[in-house]
Amino acid sequence: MREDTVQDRIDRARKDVDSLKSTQFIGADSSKLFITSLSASYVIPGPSNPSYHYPYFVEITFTSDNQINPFANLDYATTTLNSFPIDHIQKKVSNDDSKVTKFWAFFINNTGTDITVDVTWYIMSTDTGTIT
Amino acid sequence: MGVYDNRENNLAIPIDRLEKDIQDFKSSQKFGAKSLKIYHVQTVDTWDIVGADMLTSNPESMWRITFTPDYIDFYVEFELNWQITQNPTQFDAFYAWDDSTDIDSQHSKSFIVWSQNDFSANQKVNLKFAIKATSPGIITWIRLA
Repeated sequence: MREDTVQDRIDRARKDVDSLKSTQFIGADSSKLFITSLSASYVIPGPSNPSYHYPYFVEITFTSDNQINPFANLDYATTTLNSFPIDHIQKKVSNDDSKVTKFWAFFINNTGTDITVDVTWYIMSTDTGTIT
Repeated sequence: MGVYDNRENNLAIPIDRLEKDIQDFKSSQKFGAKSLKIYHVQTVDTWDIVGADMLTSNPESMWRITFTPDYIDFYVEFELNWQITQNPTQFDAFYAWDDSTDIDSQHSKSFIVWSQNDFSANQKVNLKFAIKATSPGIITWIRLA
């Protein structure tokens, strides 16, 4: 096998540059998102008056490893989803230029009795990080 | 060694550098922690609903919050803080969702914030909004109901 000539290397570099110039760097072909998870168990109190949406919530904090202001979305899975849903999730206002994103997850327990619920939180974000 | 050999040797060093740069470029992540610039914009001060704006006759309250980016084709995430200063157990939580009026717009993105006063008396509410986006921009809001 003959060694690469300078012309071979130039041709190869030109091909790489042309390929890079035609590549989409933001979008479906290149997006890199990360998923971080954490399992937890909560006892949701049953209010004496279940007619009100008793504002029981837990706070989930995602701290990115590197990125400032990371995009981050919270999702969840729970074995008691059908009988005891999480009402909704709210993203809290972050500090400017922060690695910390906080969420509130609201539980509505209309049963009148305490319920234990196991939840696995999933954060999909533009950076790796930790959930607390 | 001929003239052309010297020319190839002289070219080898810049080509080495070019190939290294290309390899670095090909192996780097173009989207994510190291390369994605995300802007955070929030309302300057927490604002209060007091006096005439108190939640009185209509138990439902709704606000539209609009983000107008400096650059089109953007992505946003919405953030919300709220606080009830009286009778918190009588007030519903605050819900937020995408506003359908500009959901496919390249020039703005709006969100609806909704809540409900289950109590018969006026309530004082503090709200604060923020946006994370791929573009800098401004936030405006109006009270719908």
